[in-house]
Amino acid sequence: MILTKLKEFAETRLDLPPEMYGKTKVRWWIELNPQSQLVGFTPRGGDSKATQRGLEQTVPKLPKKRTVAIQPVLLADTGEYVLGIPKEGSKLERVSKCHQQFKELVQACVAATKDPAVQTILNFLNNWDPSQAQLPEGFDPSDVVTFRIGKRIPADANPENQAIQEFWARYTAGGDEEESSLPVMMCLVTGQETQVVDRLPEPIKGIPDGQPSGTSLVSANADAFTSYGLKNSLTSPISRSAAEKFGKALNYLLAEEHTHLRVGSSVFVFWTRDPEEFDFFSYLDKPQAADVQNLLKSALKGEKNYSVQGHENEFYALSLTANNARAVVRSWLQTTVPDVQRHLKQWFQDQQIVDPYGQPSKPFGIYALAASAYRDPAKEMQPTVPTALLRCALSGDPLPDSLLTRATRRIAVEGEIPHARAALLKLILLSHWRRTSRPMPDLEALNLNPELDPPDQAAYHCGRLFAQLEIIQRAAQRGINTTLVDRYYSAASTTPKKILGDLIAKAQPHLAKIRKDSKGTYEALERQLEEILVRLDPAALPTSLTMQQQSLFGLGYYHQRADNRRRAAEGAEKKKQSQMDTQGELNHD
Amino acid sequence: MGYGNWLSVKAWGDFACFTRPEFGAERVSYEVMTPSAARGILEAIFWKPEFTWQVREIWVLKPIRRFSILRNEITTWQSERSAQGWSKEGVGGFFAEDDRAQRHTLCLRDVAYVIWADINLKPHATDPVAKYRDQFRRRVAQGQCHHQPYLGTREFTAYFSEPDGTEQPIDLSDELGLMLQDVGFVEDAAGAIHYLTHDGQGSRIVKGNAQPKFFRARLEHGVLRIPG
Repeated sequence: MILTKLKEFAETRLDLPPEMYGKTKVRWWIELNPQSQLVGFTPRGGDSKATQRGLEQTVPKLPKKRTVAIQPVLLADTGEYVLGIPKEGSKLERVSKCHQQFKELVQACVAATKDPAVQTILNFLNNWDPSQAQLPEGFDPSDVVTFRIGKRIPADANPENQAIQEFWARYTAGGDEEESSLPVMMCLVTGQETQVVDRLPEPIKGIPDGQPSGTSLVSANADAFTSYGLKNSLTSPISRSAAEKFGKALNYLLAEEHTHLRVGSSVFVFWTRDPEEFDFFSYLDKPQAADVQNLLKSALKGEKNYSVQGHENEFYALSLTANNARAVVRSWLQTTVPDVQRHLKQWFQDQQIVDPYGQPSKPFGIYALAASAYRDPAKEMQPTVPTALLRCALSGDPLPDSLLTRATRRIAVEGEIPHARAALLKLILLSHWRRTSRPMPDLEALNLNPELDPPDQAAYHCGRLFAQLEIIQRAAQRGINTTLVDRYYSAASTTPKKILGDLIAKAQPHLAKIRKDSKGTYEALERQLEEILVRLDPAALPTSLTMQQQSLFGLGYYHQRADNRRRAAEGAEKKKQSQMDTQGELNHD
Repeated sequence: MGYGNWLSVKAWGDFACFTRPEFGAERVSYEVMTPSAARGILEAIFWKPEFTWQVREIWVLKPIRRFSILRNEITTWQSERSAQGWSKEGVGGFFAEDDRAQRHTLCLRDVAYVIWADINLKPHATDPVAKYRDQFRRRVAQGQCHHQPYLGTREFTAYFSEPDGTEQPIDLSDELGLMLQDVGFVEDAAGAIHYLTHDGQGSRIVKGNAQPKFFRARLEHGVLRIPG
C-alpha cells in the first residue's frame, strides 16, 4: 500500500529521469563533428572546489555501485572507460579492457538503436588511439566525460534520446548475465508478472540516525529476516522500475522542505494524491496563530461528508525511524484532505488553553507538545510519542494513557507547568472524554469553575487551592527560595487530603502576618481562598487521585496561577496608571 | 455455494501481526487477517492429508487498531543440528547477546474475525467431505486443536469458538491493495527448500521453491472476500 502510493506519486507528481539515469558530475564534453573527428574538449566547471569534478548532469548510471568488476556505463563514464587513459596507479591491461568493454557497449547500443549520433561516437572510438591522445590541461581520467555532437549530447536524459534510454533500461534490467538469472514473479507494487530484483536500487536518505549512505525500506539482510528460502529482497518480489520509483519518491519527500517533519529520531513524510494548496507542514511544525485562527473559523464540518467521498483528494502520511541500515515504518496513514483538515481543526481547538499569565493561547506544533513531556527531549524522547501526536492531529486517533502519566509526572517532579505541557494535558483529557462521549468542560479560557464530574471537580479545585496556598505563603514570606510547591506538589497532587488539610492550617499564621502588613492584600487573598473553599469541603478532601484526576489537579493549579498572575499584572498596571495620573495632576498644578 | 456449505470459526486475540512481505524485517502488519493466516488457524484446529482448506471470506469484527512493539531478537535461524550436537557433547551454547537484532513490529491490537472456509478434497480422498466438515464442527465446539492457533505470528495466540450468530462485520470499506493470498510450493529438484507433501502414496519430503501469490484485497463493509 505504502509502496504503491509512493510509486504513484513518483509517476504522477515527479519529473523523474529515465530508468537507470541519475545525476552525475560530468567534467568534460568531448566535441565531435558529424564526420567523427575530434573537435576539442569543453570543460564543465573545474574552477572551484565544488565544481572541480564537473557540473551535474543527468546521465546513465549503474544499478549498483561499481566495485572491482569491469562495468561500463553507457556514453558517460570516466576517462579510463571512455578514452582508455589510465590514471596514476592503474594497470594498463585493466584500463584497456575497460575501454574495450565501453566500446562494445556503444556498439551494442548502435545495433539496437541505429542512432546516427551513437554511430558517430563508435566510429570515433574505433579510430581512437589512447597512446596518441592529445589531452587538455587538467584532464583527470577519474572524472566523468561524455560526448557532444554539434548541439546534441546522446547521454543526456532529454526525450530526443528516448531510444538510447530504452536501450539502457533494457540492458541494465537483463542484459548482463547476473541480472538475467532473476526470477519472474508478481511484483507486489504493480501487480504485474515481471522480473523482480533481489537488491533494490535507491537507498533512502534523510532518516535521522540512519546510515549516512542510506537505509533500505525493503530488506532482508540477515537469515532470520528471510522466509521460505527466498533470499534478500525476494521475500517481497518487487520489479526494479517500481523499486526505483518508490525510492525516488520517498527521497524526494524526505528532501523537500514542506513534505517532511523531523521530530527527535523520527521523520514524518506526507503527500497528497493530487496537488494541494493546504500546507500541512506549517500546521504541524510551527503553526502560526493567524493561520490557525483561519482554520478554526473555516466552515469545515465536524462530521464526515459521505456524499463526495472518492472525489476528495487523498492524503498519506508515513512515519519512519532508522535502525542501522534499515528504515522502520512506525505508522502509516491514508485518508482524505478534508478529513485531515477537520481533524487539524479539532486538534487546534483541543489544545487551546490560556497561557501561564492568563493571556490568550497560541498554537503548538508536534515537537513542542512532545518535548513538554520530557526533561531532555533530545535524549529521552521515544518515537512513539510524536507518532501518536501526529496521528491524533491528522486523523483524530486517541492519545495513549502513558503520555498523560509522563506529562503528569513531569509536573510533579518540576512543580512547573509550561504552556505547552498544559496544552498537552488538555489535549489528552479531551481525547479521552470524547471517546467516552462525556460533556466537554471549558478549560480553554480562564474559567475557574469548569463543569466536571464531582470527583474530577474536587481534584481540579484541590489544584486551585494549592496554588492559592502558595501565593499566600509568598505574600507572607517575601523572597523565600523554596515554596510549598517545591516540597509538596507531588504529594498534594496524589493524596490531597493528607497534605492540603495541614497546609490550610499552616496558612493561618501567614494570613495573620499579611493582615498586619497590608490589609488590602489580606482581604483579597482571604476572599479568593474562601471562593475556592466554597466549592471544596475541607473536611471531605479526596484521599487519593487517579492519574486523570492528578492531571486535572495540575490544570486547576495552572488556571489559578494564571489568574493570580493576571490579577497581579492588572494591579501593577493600575498602580502605574494612577501614579502617572497623580504625576500628571501634579505637573498640571 | 454460499454460507450454507461453508464452515466458520470465530478467532480473536489481543495482538496480531499479519506481516507484509515488503516489511518483513521491520514488520508491518496488513490491516486485516490474510487468507494464509486464516488457513493456518483452520489447520491448527483440524487438518488431514486428504483435504485442503480454501478460505472464502474473512469478517472483521473489531475496528482496526495498531500497536508498536520494539524487541530484541536475533539474526540467525535456530539450528537443530547444533542443538543436537550440544546435547550429545555437552559443550557449546548460544550467546544471544552476540547475535542481536533490534526489530520493530507495527502490529494490530485487539482483533476478532470470523473465518468462512471450504474443504476441498484431494484426489486420493475416499471419504465424503461431510465427514470432515462434521469433524471440524465438533472440534471447534469442543475447543480442540492440534496446536494453539495464532494470529500471524506464534507469539500472538488466537482463541477460537463457534460463531454465536450475533457477529457483525464493522462498517468499513477500503482498498487494501495487493495482499498475500498464500505461498504456493512448486516441486523443483534444484529448489531452495524442503517441504512435506502428501498424496495417494502417503507423505514424503520433496525439494521445491516457494512462490508467493498476491490478490487485490478489498474490504467491503468489513468483509474480505477471497477469490479463487
